[in-house]
Amino acid sequence: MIVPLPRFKPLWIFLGILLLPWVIEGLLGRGWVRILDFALLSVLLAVGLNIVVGYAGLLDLGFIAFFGVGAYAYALLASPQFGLHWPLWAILPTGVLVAASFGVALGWPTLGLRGDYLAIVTMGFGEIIRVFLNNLTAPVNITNGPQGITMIDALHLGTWSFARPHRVLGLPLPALVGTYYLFLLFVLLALFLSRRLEYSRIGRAWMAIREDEIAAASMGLDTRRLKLLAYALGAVFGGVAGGLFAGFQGFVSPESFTLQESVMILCMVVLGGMGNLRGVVAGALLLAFLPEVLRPLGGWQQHWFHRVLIDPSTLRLLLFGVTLVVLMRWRPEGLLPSRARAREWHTS
Amino acid sequence: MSLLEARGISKHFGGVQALQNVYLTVEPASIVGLIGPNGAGKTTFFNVLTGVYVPDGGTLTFAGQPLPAGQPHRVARAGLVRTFQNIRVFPQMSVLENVMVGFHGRTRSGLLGAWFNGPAVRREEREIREGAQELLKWVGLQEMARRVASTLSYGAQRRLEIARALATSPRLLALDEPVAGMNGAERGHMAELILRIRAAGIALLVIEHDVRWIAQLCERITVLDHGQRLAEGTPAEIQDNPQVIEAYLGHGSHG
Repeated sequence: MIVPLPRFKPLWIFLGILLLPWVIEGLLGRGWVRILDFALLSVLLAVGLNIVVGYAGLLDLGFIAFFGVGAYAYALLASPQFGLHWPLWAILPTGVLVAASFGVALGWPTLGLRGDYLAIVTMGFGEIIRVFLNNLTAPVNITNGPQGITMIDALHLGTWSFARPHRVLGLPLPALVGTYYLFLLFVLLALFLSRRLEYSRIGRAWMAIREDEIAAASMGLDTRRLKLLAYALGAVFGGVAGGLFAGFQGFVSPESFTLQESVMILCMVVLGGMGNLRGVVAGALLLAFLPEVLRPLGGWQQHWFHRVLIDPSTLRLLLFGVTLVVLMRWRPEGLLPSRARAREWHTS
Repeated sequence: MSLLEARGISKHFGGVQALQNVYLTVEPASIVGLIGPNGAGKTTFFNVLTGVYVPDGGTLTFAGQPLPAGQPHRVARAGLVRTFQNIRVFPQMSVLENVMVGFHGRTRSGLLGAWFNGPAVRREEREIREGAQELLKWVGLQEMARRVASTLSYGAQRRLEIARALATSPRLLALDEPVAGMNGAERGHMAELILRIRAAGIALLVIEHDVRWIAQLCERITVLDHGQRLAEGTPAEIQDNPQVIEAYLGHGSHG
């Protein structure tokens, strides 16, 4: 085929990724390792949404709902809320099943919809989940409403807790770095599974549906099943990210799963380059770090103008927005677009 | 037994009767022409036939089985595949990938297959690729395999659509105006391709405006006008039919 199959990356890139948290901790401090960990969850989310939006071409504005479902699944199965303390290996498959069911539940009613209409319905779905999380308190208190669920068990495998520092081969392994490696493992697995799908019979079918659904169906593609599969798989990636998030943060509440978060993940996918995994990873990392990089704006203003002219949090959002606009104006196809996407924008 | 039997097909959109009591049969490995003036219902009939629309009345039998109404992918898998009047290749996929999509319904590998990519899956993928290359050679596009479909010329896109349809291994290929907008030489090539497809044992149902072009190709012609079957017969019968001449040229003479 025209497309080269996945090749092993040069060893030094791999080493760089392994050493990254140490470098960041040394140069920028521990807080940035935490940001890095969250960024990896963003990557996981973006890779999941990319299956739905990038491969199958289904505009989904409610993707954060699956992140929420996964997070609450973990929270309910491993916290004092119901007195359950399941181990990770039991929560994970359960969460995968729950997320996949929600993916199909969202997909089913939207099968006949496309474009704008699909976006609106998925947006509604995202909001419904958030409203449910906020209100499932009576007659049985399931979600604990807006207060959320606290004291969630930390991520652990057997007796190895990712919330505590360890010593490995005599070297100290800070908790945040250990978590980084755990999340990295999930990200690499997600990338691998995504990549294999992209160049498979199924990936090709998704691409055909994205390009022309009527022609695809007329060639014998069961478009309903294929679209549901894309929703379910995307939801699974999102759900796993949610579970890791809950275990990492030890606390979940509905306000982590708002429309703005859905839009943010969509931005990561679009900005990075829909349909191209490298682009999606780049987009996710960029948008996860950008708000953090812009955080010390108050201090900079103080330094340059000797007073704070514009409220830093407002300015931060403003600069963030400007960055998005500039990027989309000059690179509408994304930072690292897929072949097809690049052609769409640059063939006349 | 006829390959395709459409009996009394009707379809209306709101108050517009697009098809009314249409009968049409296609024998195995034969070529049938479907002609008629603009708006006669030819494409609507194709859409009903291939499951894009559900008919309001009538029955469709294909190889002795009822055709699943309103389910294009099942119609295609049953062996009835079409091309489109306004070409619908997958524009941003390569020519080869376009044809490979046609093999989807005949292949099996699923999610786990894609992830583990075992020997069976790799073999299937290789067979699809070789099959697609074979078909491209067959329609004369072997040099174009790596090109992006949207960059092909109009005529080449038509042939690509046919190759993609053949990849599904159809028993009946339905072509919607395959030579629209083509010059004489291209029409000749298309006629030659159609005859070769028939020689491979595949029946064809061809919509066309150009009566003379279609008459040289097919055994039977059905004429539609205002959603109704106006005439049916051999090309010679149709060309001499006064009703058909009237439908095409309008009745009476105004100087």
